[in-house]
Amino acid sequence: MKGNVIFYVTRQYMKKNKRRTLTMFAGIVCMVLLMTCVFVGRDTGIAYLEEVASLKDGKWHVSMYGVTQKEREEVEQLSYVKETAASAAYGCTVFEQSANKERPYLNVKGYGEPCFDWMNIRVLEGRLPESETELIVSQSALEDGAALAVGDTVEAAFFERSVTGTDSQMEKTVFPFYELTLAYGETKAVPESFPYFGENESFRENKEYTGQKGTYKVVGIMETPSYEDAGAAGYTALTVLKNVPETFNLSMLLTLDQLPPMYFMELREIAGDHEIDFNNYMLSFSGNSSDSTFNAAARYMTVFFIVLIIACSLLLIYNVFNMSFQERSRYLGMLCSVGATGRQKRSSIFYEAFSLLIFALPVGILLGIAVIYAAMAKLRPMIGVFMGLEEIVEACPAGIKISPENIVLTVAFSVVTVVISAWLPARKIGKIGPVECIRGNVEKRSRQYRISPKVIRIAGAEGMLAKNTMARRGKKTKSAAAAAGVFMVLMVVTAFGSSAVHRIISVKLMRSDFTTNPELYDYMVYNSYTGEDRTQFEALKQEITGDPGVERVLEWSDAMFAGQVSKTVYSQEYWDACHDIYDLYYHRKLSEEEYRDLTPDDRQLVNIVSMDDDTLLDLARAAGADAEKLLDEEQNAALVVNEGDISTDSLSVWGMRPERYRFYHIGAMTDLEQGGVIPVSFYSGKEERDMEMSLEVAGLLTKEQLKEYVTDLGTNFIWLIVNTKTAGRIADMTAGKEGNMLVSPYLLLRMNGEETDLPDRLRRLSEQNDSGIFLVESGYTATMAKAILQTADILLACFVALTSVICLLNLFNSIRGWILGSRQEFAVLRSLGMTSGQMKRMLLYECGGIFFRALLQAGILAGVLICIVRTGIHVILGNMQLPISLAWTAASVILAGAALLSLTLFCFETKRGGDIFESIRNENI
Amino acid sequence: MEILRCENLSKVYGTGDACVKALDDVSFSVEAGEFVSIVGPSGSGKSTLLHILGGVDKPTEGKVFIGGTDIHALNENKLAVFRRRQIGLIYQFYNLLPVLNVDENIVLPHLLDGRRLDRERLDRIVESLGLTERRNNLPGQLSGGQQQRVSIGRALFNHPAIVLADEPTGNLDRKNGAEIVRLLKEANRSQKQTLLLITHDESIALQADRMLCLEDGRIIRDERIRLTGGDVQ
Repeated sequence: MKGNVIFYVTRQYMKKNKRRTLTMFAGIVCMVLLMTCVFVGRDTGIAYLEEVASLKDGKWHVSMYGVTQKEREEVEQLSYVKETAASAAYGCTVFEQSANKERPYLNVKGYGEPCFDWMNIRVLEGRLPESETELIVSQSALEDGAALAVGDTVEAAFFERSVTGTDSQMEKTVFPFYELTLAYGETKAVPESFPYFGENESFRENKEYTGQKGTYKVVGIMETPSYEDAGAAGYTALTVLKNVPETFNLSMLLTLDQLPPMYFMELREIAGDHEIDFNNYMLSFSGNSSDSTFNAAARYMTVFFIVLIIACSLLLIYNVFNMSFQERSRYLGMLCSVGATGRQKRSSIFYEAFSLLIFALPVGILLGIAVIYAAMAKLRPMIGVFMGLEEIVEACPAGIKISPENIVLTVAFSVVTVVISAWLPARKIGKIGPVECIRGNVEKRSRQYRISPKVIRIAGAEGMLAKNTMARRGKKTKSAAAAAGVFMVLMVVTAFGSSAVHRIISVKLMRSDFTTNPELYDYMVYNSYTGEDRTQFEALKQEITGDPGVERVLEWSDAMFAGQVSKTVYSQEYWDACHDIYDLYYHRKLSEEEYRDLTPDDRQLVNIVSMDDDTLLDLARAAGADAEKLLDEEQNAALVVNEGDISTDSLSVWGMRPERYRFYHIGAMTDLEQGGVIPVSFYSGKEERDMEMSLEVAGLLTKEQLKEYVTDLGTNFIWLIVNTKTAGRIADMTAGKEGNMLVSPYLLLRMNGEETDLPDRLRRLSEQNDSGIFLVESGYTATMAKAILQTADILLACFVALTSVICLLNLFNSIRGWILGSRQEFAVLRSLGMTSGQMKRMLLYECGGIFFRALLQAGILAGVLICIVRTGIHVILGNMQLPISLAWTAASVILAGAALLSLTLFCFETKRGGDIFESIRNENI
Repeated sequence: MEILRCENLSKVYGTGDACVKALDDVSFSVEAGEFVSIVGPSGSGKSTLLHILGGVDKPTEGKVFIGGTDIHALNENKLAVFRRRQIGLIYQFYNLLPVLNVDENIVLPHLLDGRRLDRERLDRIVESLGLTERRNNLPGQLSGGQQQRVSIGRALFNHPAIVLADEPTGNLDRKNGAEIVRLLKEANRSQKQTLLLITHDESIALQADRMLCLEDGRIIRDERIRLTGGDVQ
């Protein structure tokens, strides 16, 4: 026996109670593991997403196109711009060695040195060019059979491509995927991705030589760059840009941790009329995209995870100490009787906790890293699917990012948790005297307990025993009830927290003007400026409809902010929320007069959307609206989406920043009633005046009723849903002098699963500048916000699974303690003739009691926690709806009940055998 | 009439060098209504014998017949039912259920047998045990003597074939011990209750009809006691 006698005795008891010690050790390991998962996992995940993001579009953060040296200098003066690099497109040159008749050119670009790395140029053979006379050529050329090898030379004479309409019989030649309409005799420049059509009757391709010439030596073959279009007329070839031309493209890397909040505005300002691209994938994962809320979401989730892990671990460790209180108090009482002080007794508890923590820390951290490794391997394909980057993700191995800061944080949080959870029992045990310690919990109250014939009649001796155990010695089952309660609380609160995190991310990241249900539609093809001439749109629609991969195509249209109604159409609830938001922007409470002065306009905007008749009919039925009126082509009727939300993100005051973010859910956007009339005025470009249209309210819709078709409707204004004819009348009314219209058509696409390159073609079209076509993917390959949500869901599920392990350990340990503590009583009961079946029945009744006690405790605790979280979120973010899933709550309660019962029976079965006499004689642990 | 018979009982704990023979070929029988005291030094096998007779421990060899039933041939459940109906056990440390009050502890074997609560009998027993005032108290609120009286009530409530008492006075002072013995003798006399009692106290042992003396797991003396002049105080 070396050193401190208290520690020695503690060690001996730890050895004696191996199972309890192991359970506590496992609990602490789980806690450390979870902490590691949160801290290291978060960084690993973000680093991996950054890596994937860099493989998608490159490592650059921002690119400006067609800038001058002056603008480059301005950019380089910004403190947060780490590095810049120039690149320039030289144009096309004839590629003599090409073996593909449809790709007869080379598209040559000059890259400043860093650009090769920033654009992920991978050398497959040879090396990167080192001078402006060297070229590296895309592998796609060789794959097509080009007679080219490293060491060959390419003679280049650069030209710009254009096409001229040559068919006098054809009014227009439309290239829908290149947003190009060509009339007879007309000449138009074509983009780099434009295919080579060769000789044809409709148009002719022209080459306008720029005068730039050169002889290039091929020094390498590169992997086909991600931006190279397989349908383009040229292969990509790169050289070094030594002499930067007058106008060029400027890419830059930013110092991400020094970015001011509105940095993108500053860069946009410098770019002026030039095109500017933000590599949002790269920026988002480090929390700096123009929508900087990704970081906020990551922070919300980290805090949420940490708080729950700490709470669960606290309860587990506290419960283990508390459960063994009686036994521990006996040996500590004995020590106390021979002179141990309260401090020494307390130190016993801390000694036990920390001696386990010392071993649990490395084990937990290593296991945590292993879990992250396994999770990354599992999550990798999912991340690919969610982000629509399967191939890139497949090629990108997952590494673990371990930083000293994260390890320190894990250790610090673990130590704090153990200190707090050991402190209460240590304090309690330090106060208790030697006699109380040794005697244990002797019943000293003089209270009288009557026999209850009713209980005996109903549930027999087993019921009487169970009821009396619960009522008269509640402490015996307190730990088990607490553990079951904690399990329920964890499940319910996590479910609530998960839905809250979901909601926060949805509100903050998924704000969208109009999101269709991905289960009904795979893609939405949006045409931003069709004008009265629908030729091009119709050509696109026809091509899409005829595609073998398309199951059906629906046409809807919308007109955002198209109409105006009297301010009084909007409800007081709406105006109060707007007033609050103005207060936040002005950083003070504005009086009614001030607010009115700031919003003098007596009219407010409305949005219009038209849908197909089948959808309208369904919606009218769901809302109990007048379907006949709504579908009547002669009448102007509308369904009013009467539920909405506004926030400091959606309603902004020009040039001002709000005090903080706040969200307002508006239950009733208007005070309108079915059958009422809304006079809406539309501005007619042709007439140059407002024109009135009265829309009859066919019904009022909630978002819930709408969500089967449209899952999200953003903007701060009312949506009026009308039929196609009414939309047509609005379109006519709002048409401009040059035919430009406010009402824009959408195509909603449902794919049939057959192989097609239509989505790729539409995506490329959508990525083209000024194409006017936007492709919105509504399935799993959806937006980044959706990817974040899905990833969050998986992480939450993993988190629940891991914390459930802590809770189940806690429950198992408590039940085991309860059964072990009852062993002597069970032996006495057996000696009195109680059968095994009767004992199980008694335990079943006790489990029932424990369950209801746990349910009550969990109900109160979960209720309080949910109220705190809800209030906190409401205070911080606004009155967003945070639903509690009743199904999940019920499932949690059933699961906890089942775990309680099965663990009780398991512990009973493993402990029930043995010698009755010995069990009666032995003092139990 | 023979109520209990044991044949060649042996009980061995451990194996090899650590082997301890607690009982070594013990055979005897007890007549119905007989009061038998079992005496012997510590470690002589008294408690082991009593627990094997009560069916709470199993012999290594030998048989125990109570009312003609070989109790160790019964399966666990049947033995439990047999115990609650035919055997009353009294322990030195009472072993009452701490969550049950006096009444509930006494009627427990009766209730475990699925029978209805017999209020009248309960009242009678509680009164005869002098526990009327304490019947609604939990064991923790009672003195040692009171707790032992409760355990006697529990052992007698079901009219068992045999009551086995393992040093019932061992944890009590002389006065309380005498009171416990009086109650047991009373049951033996008035209800013809067969009683086997382990004791270290010679004066108590001599109050029995018969005395078995154990040493090293063997019966070294089995003698009838003929006392004159009433109970030994």
